[in-house]
Amino acid sequence: MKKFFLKIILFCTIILAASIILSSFIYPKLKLTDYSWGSENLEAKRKYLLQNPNKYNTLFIGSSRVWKQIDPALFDTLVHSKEATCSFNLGENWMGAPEIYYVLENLINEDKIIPKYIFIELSKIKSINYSNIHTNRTHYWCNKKDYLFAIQTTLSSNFSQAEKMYNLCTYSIAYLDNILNLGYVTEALAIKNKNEQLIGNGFDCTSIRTKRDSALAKPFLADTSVVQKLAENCAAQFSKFEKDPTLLQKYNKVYMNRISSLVEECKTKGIQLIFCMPPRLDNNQYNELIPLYNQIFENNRIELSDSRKYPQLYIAKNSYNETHLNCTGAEDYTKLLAEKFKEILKRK
Amino acid sequence: MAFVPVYILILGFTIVIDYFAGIFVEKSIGKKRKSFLIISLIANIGVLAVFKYYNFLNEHITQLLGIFHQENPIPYLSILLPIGLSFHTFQAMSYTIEVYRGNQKAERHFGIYALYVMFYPQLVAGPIERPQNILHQFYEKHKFNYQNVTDGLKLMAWGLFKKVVIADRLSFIVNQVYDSPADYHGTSLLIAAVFFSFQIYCDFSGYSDIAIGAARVMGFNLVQNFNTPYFATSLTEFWRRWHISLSSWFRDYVYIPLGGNRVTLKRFCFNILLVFALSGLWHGAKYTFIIWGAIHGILLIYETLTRQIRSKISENIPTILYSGVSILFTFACVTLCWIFFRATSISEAFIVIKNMFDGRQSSLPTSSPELFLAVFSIIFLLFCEWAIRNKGVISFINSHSTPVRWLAYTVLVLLILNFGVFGGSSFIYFQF
Repeated sequence: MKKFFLKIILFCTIILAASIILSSFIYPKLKLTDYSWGSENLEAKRKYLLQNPNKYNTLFIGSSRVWKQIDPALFDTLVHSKEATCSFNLGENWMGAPEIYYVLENLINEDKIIPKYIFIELSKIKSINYSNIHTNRTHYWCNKKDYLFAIQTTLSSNFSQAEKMYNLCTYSIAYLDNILNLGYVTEALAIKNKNEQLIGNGFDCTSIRTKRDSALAKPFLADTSVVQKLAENCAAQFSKFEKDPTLLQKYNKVYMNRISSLVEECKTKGIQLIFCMPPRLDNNQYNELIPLYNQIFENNRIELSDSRKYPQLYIAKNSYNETHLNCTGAEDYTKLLAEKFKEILKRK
Repeated sequence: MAFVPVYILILGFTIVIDYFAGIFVEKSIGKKRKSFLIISLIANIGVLAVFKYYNFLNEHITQLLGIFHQENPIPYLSILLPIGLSFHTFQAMSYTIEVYRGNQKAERHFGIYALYVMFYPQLVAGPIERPQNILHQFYEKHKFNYQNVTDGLKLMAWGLFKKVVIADRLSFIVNQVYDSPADYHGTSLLIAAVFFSFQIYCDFSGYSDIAIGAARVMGFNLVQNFNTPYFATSLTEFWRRWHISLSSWFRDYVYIPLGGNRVTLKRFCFNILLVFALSGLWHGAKYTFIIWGAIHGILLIYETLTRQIRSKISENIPTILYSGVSILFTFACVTLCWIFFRATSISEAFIVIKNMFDGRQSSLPTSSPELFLAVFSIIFLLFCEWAIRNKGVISFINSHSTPVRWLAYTVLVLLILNFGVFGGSSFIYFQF
């Protein structure tokens, strides 16, 4: 049995070495893939931005809370008196930390894209669903830097032990998949084969309107108690931090370092990075994000989460589901964001 | 097809029935002996009928009553097909039949018998084991055996390669074409049909290799299920090489009891057609499967009837040429039959065949590199299969020197990792 295990270890080492050689030397030379974010939607948006390099000076990056809730055209109209923005929505479903920072860093390193303002959703480290471990997106963003960031942030967070363990496992599997180039050629060919066209500012009103205001949302709207509970829970979380300000000092330092370095990096490129805290979060998110938000310089943050200050974001008729707003809600949300942005501009 | 925990009870039900049926069959004599066998067969076929064929039959009753403007009072069942049902019921039936025939002693240990039916590597998609081959192995002590473990792992790697690198890659193209076959014409449909032949082979034989390999790692030997079927020079040979455990099941328990080929020509034709129609029906309650089986039956009858003529022709043609043409012709026939197997309806199958030869052309729903990769993977498979055709994978690999073997393992694993399709698609035969 000893002989068998020694051979297995030797074989795994050979495979690992061969995989590293392939990914470090062979694949880059073959140029199998043009650079991609591994998501059809994001990739189309990136290509569109590259084709229109000087058109947009303001970008919104985040999950569906950004993609389906921030209307760039409305935003531009509302802030027009203070600043001539031309905005583009770079949101994508399920995009949270660290993918969101991977996208941001790649974006600011593109020579052709030179934004003035970038609004980025403040998000806690996302747990990767089991079914998402091997996706194209994970293949791209789960690189060494973001894997280590995710693991270190998870370990220094106040997540439950179960969640820490889950993150540790899923992120490690996803990273190992990438080291071993799992399904790399298949993905490279699939990405080459896709030619999604994008026209507009990234905020797809038509599909959102049909989906969001469809009959699917109606049963949810009928039961106002769900949203009511969300609002009460949110208020309780914010009150908890107000009553005991020492809790605000218990922020995740690993995460904060990344935020600070991102703000600095953007600043050197002439970009103002603004972290936005969206509404309708869960307790884990409030616990992680409120102390972090508090550490960010006030010109680099916008909070639209507190149900006591923004009750319009916590009413049933503005809801699509528990965590998302419908079109009317999205309009209110965009208006609030514009107002907050104008306040930042005023302070400047 | 589904795994529903409560369905374990169905498995439990057939296990209990067959366990006691086996003991009672052994203990009894005469008519009583036969009646216990019939009880066991009814229980197994009954479960299969309820879950697999009930709604199919009920639909026909509805249509029949509809002709007379009558409503069907029998309700439809909204049940899911338990995963691997056809496999383990056939395995269970072979046990009671073998006990009845006196080829196998009834198993007294309930746990061992339950393990025979539920042995996990082959529970969901075979190979369908005979009690003579596997039951005694459960009594043997299985210590760590280096040779068994490494041989099993080699077989599993080869099976995984066939599944994730070839079958799942081909499925991209095949699924898109068969999703809307009316949109495609000419060579596109021909390529899709050929691709499906390789997809289903790699998918199913890949699973079998993984199952046999997993059992071998634990020290168990399962029967061979595939033996390079696409190199068969006739359909008779094809069926000796394809899904061997099911073909031999039908041969031993249906075809031979019906008289086999030692009957009149008319009866022989009937036997063949019945066996193959049943084989088609075993795959699912759909006419496409029955037609698939029936065409195979018709072609086999034709092959038997023309054997002497073909034998005379072959004497005047060089063996290599005759064999080559025979392999291609057999493959073409099998591919034609797969069209019915893959299509969702008979009319769709005819659309595929009609559009294939309508003189029009359409492009395949894939890019050139993907098509190249698919074709290359088939060529690579054929090359490997040709190399292993006489020895089998394990003996072929083991006959080479250590550096060659290690190089082969490394290349195989790297191909799986880099070229594999990891979309989580299931095995085709899981639905049966």
